[in-house]
Amino acid sequence: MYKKAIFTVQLLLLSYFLFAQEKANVEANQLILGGYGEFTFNKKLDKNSLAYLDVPRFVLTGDYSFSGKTRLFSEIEFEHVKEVYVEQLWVQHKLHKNVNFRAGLLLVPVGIINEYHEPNTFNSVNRPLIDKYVVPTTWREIGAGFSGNFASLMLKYQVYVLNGFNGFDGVAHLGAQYPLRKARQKGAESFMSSPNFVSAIEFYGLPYITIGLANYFGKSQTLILENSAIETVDSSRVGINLLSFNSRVNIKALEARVQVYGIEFSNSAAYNEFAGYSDVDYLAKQVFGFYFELAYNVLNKMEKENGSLILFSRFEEFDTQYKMENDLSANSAYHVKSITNGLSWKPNLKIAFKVDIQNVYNDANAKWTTSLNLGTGFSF
Amino acid sequence: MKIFLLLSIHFFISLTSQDDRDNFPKSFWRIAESVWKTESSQLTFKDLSIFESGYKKGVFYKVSNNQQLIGYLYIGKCNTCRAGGCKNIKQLNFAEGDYEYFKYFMLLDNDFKILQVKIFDYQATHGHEIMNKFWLSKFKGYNVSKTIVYGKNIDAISGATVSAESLIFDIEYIISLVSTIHIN
Repeated sequence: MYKKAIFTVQLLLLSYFLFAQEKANVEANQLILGGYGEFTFNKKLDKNSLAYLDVPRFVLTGDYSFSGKTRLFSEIEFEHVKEVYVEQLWVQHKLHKNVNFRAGLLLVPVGIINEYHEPNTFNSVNRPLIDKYVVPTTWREIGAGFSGNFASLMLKYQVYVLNGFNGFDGVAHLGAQYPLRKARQKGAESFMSSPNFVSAIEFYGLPYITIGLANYFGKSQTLILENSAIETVDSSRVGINLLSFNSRVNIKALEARVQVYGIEFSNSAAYNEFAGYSDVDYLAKQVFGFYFELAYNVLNKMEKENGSLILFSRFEEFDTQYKMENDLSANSAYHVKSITNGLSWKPNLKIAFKVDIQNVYNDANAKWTTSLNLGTGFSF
Repeated sequence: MKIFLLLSIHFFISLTSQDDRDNFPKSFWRIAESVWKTESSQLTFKDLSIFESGYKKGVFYKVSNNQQLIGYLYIGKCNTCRAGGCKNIKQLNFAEGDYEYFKYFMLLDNDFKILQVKIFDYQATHGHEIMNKFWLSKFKGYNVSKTIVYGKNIDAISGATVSAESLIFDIEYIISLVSTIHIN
């Protein structure tokens, strides 16, 4: 009898919890699928170059809400058709109207392109050069922190603690042509010797103008443990301090974008020596890069059904060996200028057919090379 | 007896509208006073129940000053989402579990012409730029006879396309609805 009573109570409790669970989630379990991608054709305009055709990325996104306050966001990416990555995977929980806690594999909120990289949202077939050579888009690592928005201040913010670059794992990965790109860990069996920090704000209270500022700092990660000789540990890592400024201006048919990056590496002389680098690999003390872009929608006056046809021109300049430590010599091949002119035709906002002519100049060659790029970008 | 019934209905309505008043965002009162040039305590609000039952996205009010109609107010929620993956922006109803949304209110004159639009709560990861008051001021003067075209007579905002289109869809829906049904 006693046992039966307990069993009944348990059954009641169980069914109550099951029912309560179901009730709480009844309108919440919602999965929204989406994606984006692009295909490209790149050809240098000289007789000795081949054309290259690629699907640089095809990404499927899944956005699942556990409740009105908690959600999971994921991006599964196919790069160059055959490499599979989880590009983003994070859980976010709303703590307050202005504060969300977010943890997982996060996009580092530095610059326009790293966060807004759907190919129909930027002009030019390939991403801006500084978003490849200076800031390694798509840059993501595992971390946690807070994001939110203060409506009255017209301010959006993100603050995260996250894993840093693989500076040394038996081989050095920070370098000259790509100071950071080859050292991304992307959350794949990544290791950490010290955490890195990033904070970003976006201010949208001015007429026509959005301004973004970001700072990333921390030490690169090393596999050499703290109990090794202290000099060895210190030589195998560098300090990284990155500043980003960007601004987007939209007035009628005109759009302007500015992006500026500056990176300072400390301890690069010791790191270069430790890595056994020569001048083509030297990690610099300072790296800079910027672009300025003007775009004009010539169909602006027409009816919406015609979509938009955007003419654009972008000037970029960057130097991944801008300043060197201890009088090391800089290689002039890393000082690059580029002018990209082209057009994007968007029959609707989710699709862009793009064509551009990109001229690139570096100080070592002292001549311009020209490429023709064609591409199609979409999101859904 | 009839008078008693009417009085109690009136009492009930004033009670409910009193409740609604308390839930209006703070920023509304400041804007209402400057747009309608009157003390906020003078204003009364009546939910016109213009939507079908079950509609959860917002409430449409008639606004009076000393029994005199001075305009209309809509307070509502709008769906949005990250770029890509957006299926339900244009859905007319709002599920509680939806994560990405924003709330706005809109003041209209007697002829349903827009006087002011303001977003007072933004709960989405992208598209905050649409809260910019200079951008929102471009909605002023619109009514059912004009179409709002994003990127044309309303400026495009890079990074906020989805939210901007969602807001425009919602505003056009509300205005066309109130302009076609008989409101007293």
